Amino acid sequence: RPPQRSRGTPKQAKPQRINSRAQNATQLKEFCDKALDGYSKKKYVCKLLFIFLLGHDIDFGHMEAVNLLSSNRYTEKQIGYLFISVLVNSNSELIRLINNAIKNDLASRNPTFMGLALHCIASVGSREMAEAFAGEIPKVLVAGYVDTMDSVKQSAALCLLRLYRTSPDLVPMGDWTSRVVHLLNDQHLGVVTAATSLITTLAQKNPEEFKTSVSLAVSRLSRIVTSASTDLQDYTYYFVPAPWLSVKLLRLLQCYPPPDPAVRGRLTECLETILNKAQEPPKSKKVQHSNAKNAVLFEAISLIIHHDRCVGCLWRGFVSRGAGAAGLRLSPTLGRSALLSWLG
Amino acid sequence: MIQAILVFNNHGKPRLVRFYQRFPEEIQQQIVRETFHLVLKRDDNICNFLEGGSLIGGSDYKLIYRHYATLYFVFCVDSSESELGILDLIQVFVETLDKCFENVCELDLIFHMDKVHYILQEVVMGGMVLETNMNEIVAQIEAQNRLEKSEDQVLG
Repeated sequence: RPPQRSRGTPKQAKPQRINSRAQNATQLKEFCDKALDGYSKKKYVCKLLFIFLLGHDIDFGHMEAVNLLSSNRYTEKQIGYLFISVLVNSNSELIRLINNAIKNDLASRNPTFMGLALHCIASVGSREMAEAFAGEIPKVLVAGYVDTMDSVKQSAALCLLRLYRTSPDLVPMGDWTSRVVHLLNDQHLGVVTAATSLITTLAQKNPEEFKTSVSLAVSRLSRIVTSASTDLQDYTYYFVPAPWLSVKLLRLLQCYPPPDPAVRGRLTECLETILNKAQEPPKSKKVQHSNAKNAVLFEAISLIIHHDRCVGCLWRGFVSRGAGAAGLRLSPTLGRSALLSWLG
Repeated sequence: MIQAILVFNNHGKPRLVRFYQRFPEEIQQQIVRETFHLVLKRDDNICNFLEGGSLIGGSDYKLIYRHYATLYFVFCVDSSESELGILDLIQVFVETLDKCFENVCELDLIFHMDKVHYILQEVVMGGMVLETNMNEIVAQIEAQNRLEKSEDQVLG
């Protein structure tokens, strides 16, 4: 449904929100001086963010935002972290204070606070953050806390991935790698998705460490692809079961050569199922359904081509069938040239 | 990895700007303007993927966008992301906004900017896709709202 303009809110309301810089300076003075209540602090920080969005420099308010980080109130912490993530600052004094606040929140064992801290580290992702936290995050990820929430595991996996991307030298391999592979078996598909993203990137530089992920990935993929549409419920998107996760698992498999026969048999079944489903009449007229279905299909074809290059003519049959299936009913959002270059 | 998420209206006014790579502020605004010009020229029935401008990354990066009435949602991604997956992710994000704001419109994005950021934070973290399941995202947002209400009551 396209968004509509809401009635009744006058357009004049908008200019009032955009204060002049002089007004901001006075407001900021209030911000610093008075002991403002939570609502006012939030309001001021929001205004600063909005002004920044429109393109004006904000060189004040940073210290106040950092102070908000140590508040015990969730809403204040949240807005403090938001401000910091959006207006990343290279002032070293502040970075030390920010890192301290993050350290406290990570150690707090409060999943909401840990989530906020992890999010901030991932959003900023600077080298200083990597230096401070790259050693800690794997512990958070695989720690045996009985009460480590799924959301914390998800966030920690992606946070680690982000730090690895910016500073790979600061993330050492260790015991935790085998535990991360095990996350592929987690019940929560969100955790599995995050773990798959992490493993895919790490496996490119350290394939030996993550070899065991191949068979786990294949069994996970086959469970998803053969599931009835009622099984995965929440993760089913317009009648396609867990399309993002399927695509990621297929990408992970492209980091390795074709697996040994036992696993390969299962993988072949999976790929056949995907190709067959692509040729069935669509379950929905919506473009989302065909996009999701095609996303999985193209990634499957990509994997087949990758194996084909490794092994030779065994998979030719698949490739031509895949091409046929992909030729069906291109939605307008796909350029034909994009598809042709994909099949290359 | 997602480099940036931009939402702007048909006149190029930014409504949500989130960068996952460090750019100085003037460059950020320049990127928004450049992206707007690239995207404005496209008809509604043309492919939703295009090469990014020169400022943001170069040839490895693509812009994936969707146009909803008055707003453009643009995700700038590198080759490690599936384009169709991102296209659907934009849809998930918009549907979630719709659920949280009830018939979302551009003014909601203006007046509740922090809320929009929090919703986005449940979907994308540090440039990585965190969650694609809309029910899960909405549940997290509702939990945040409850936490907010309980704090207001306890501490006044």
